[in-house]
Amino acid sequence: MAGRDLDILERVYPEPTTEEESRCMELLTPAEFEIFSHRMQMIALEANEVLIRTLGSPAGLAGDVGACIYTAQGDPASAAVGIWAHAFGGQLPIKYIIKHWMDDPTVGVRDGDVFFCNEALCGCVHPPDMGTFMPVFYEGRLIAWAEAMAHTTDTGAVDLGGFCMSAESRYEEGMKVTPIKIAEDFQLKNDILTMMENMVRDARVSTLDNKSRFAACMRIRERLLEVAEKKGPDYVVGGLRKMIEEGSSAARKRIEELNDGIYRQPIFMDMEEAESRGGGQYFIRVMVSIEKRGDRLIADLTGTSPERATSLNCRKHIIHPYGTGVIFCSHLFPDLPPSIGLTDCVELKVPDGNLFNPSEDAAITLGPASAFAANQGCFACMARLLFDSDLRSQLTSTYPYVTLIAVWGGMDRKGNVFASLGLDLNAGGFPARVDKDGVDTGGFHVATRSDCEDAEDIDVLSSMSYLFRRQGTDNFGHGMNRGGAGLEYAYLAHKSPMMILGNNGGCGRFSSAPGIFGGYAAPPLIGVKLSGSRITEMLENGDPLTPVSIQELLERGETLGGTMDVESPMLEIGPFNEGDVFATMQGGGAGYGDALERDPASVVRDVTGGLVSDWAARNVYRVAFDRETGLVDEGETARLRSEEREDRKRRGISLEEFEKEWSRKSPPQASLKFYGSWPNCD
Amino acid sequence: MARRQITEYLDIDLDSEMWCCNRCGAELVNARDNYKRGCLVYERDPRTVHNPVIEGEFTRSPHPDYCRIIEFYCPSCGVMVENEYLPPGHPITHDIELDIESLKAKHATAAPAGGDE
Ligand SMILES: [Zn+2]
Repeated sequence: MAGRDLDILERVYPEPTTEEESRCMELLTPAEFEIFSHRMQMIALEANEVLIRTLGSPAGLAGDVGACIYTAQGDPASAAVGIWAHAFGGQLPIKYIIKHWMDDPTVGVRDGDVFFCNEALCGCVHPPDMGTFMPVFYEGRLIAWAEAMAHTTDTGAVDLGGFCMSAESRYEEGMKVTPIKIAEDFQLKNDILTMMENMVRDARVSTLDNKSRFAACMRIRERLLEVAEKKGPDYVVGGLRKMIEEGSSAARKRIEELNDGIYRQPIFMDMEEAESRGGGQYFIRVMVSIEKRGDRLIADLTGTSPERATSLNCRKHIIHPYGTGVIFCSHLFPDLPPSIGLTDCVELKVPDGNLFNPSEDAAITLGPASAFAANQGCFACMARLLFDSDLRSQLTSTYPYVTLIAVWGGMDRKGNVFASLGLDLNAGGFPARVDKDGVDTGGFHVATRSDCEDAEDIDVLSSMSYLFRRQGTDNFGHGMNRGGAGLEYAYLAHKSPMMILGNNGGCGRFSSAPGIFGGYAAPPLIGVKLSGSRITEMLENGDPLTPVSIQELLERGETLGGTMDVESPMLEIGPFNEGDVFATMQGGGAGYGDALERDPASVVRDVTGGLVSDWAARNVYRVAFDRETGLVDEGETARLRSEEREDRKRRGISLEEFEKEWSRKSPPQASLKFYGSWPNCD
Repeated sequence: MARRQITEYLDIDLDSEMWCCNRCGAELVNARDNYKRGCLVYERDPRTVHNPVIEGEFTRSPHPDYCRIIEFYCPSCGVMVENEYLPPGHPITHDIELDIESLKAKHATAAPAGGDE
């Protein structure tokens, strides 16, 4: 079909080095290369900062953005984030532009042009992730590309906010633009900006974001030209290529050292069907297997559930290189300059028709959620791969795959029509590590430098009030090292003339992040909707019984007025009226190691701090302590723990014996309707 | 005796090619097999690890109709080597399948002291 070029989606590896690039690379001495590499990092960071300070979308405020310097061939050479998928997300669209528009006399690629794209079939992530790409010419020679990408709040899709819970095909997912020129001669084109404004709900943010991305590209261009002017254009061309080649060989060298073998992890996405389609829980299985051979990693997603008629489908380039970018650039090799070179030791296998290799017309806006599940499986496999290596300190248990993203809109307090999204996803718990607990409300695993933003700012900019925000009790996986606590929070509708709210998510019945080496998983999540409450009145009166945690909301239920529903965290978009409350939480990090090996004093510290419940201290960690002094009873704790170890030996049976009974069981049939064949999806 | 620590709780003895418990040293099963075959197995109601905060369908504990916790213990010292959260009846995962020949070759050429203990 016109505009689609699926061959482009395969070009995720660095292009072959050109003769020009080879010649230019030789010009840089090792010392000059170090200086160049650092300079490129600073330029990308500066452009990233331009985005954060100028975007209209709340995602900008939170740092959920990316900027990157690309080679003239379209390969990411130096990235700054935000979100790795945003920094690397220009690779395929730029290659599309080079292939299709460079020599087309009706389009062309000239100095001062800026292109826009948000079409996943041309290599972007999903429609709300919008990118701009600018060729950088020095005296008529193309020496690089500048890229900036950010999540813009609305795409004019069937659902508000760009994440389409109810889409069944791409034709309900709003504006999807193939690479198109939005600026010529360094001027944004008003006809194009107007066309985009006309296609979305929040016209103001659409144009503000386009201007912001344009400014970030301009900044990269300006800085690259300063370098080219001072050191010559060959220095830039050679340096950018060298960043990718050096990254690739450094990463491969470290991969080579790891133990050969196959590592596996199934992930069970626990989702809720939209009410409009009959509701009900369903599982999607994401099967991750990583085979390590020599200096290669083969990531195989065979055994994942099939493509389905909702937007959870995900194009495979979102996994590799965008997903692997997260693991390699921010976790495995944080000391190496981030380029696409770090990820080119990975080969991805995904059969056709798999959730990660869907047909052209598939809906994909919630695809990143599936990508997070695949990432989660990768983290678990990598932990097993990394333990017996020099990279042991880099291994982690797993991050939550569910990142709950609230979307809301209507009319704000100033009377403007608006759409917005929640930034609480940037306060999930981080996983436990080999030698330490996970970071509480650490962030969002694909967005290394992001922030959940002050509640006050969100109140002012997006007309949404918070009843509370806190680190949740037991909202992580227990273990010798525990996961970091995820954020627990409650939205309160207050003083907006008209508001609707929805929450993308699931995981009401299954764990949200599997543990590693005997560490427990993080628990499921819930959503508590309180309609028509008297909370506003309680706040006005300074009522000490105003709830400040989900536990208190649940305990005080009826006394708060109105009706309370406790559901999975998925909330279909609907009215959110004055005094209504929606409380939920971001997932926590998973645990590491046997909880009976946790330092008892750390357990008491967490009980005192409200992060671990009394119940868990007694029943999971088996710690005896004095509630008043906080002193651990070492003797009694040792006795309780030894008693539990003996009990394990008494109650445990052989795997063979266990499987006889176990293999006869199955989850409720209704939960398997989109699973594929039970149990192996083959 | 060249033992490599492969996970927090598992060693591989390169001479006998056996998985061993890192805490007590007990031999579990052949290193080419799934180490879980050398462990004691117990199916656990998730509500005994994640305390339900409220009654009903959504409690913050995994729902036992949809999720069970399978725990794997060292038969000798009772340490929890690993666990899995699975839908009832889902096959146990063979999560580490090392290339033993390659592992042995790697350490045959290493310093004679061998191992990392
Ligand atoms: Zn043992």
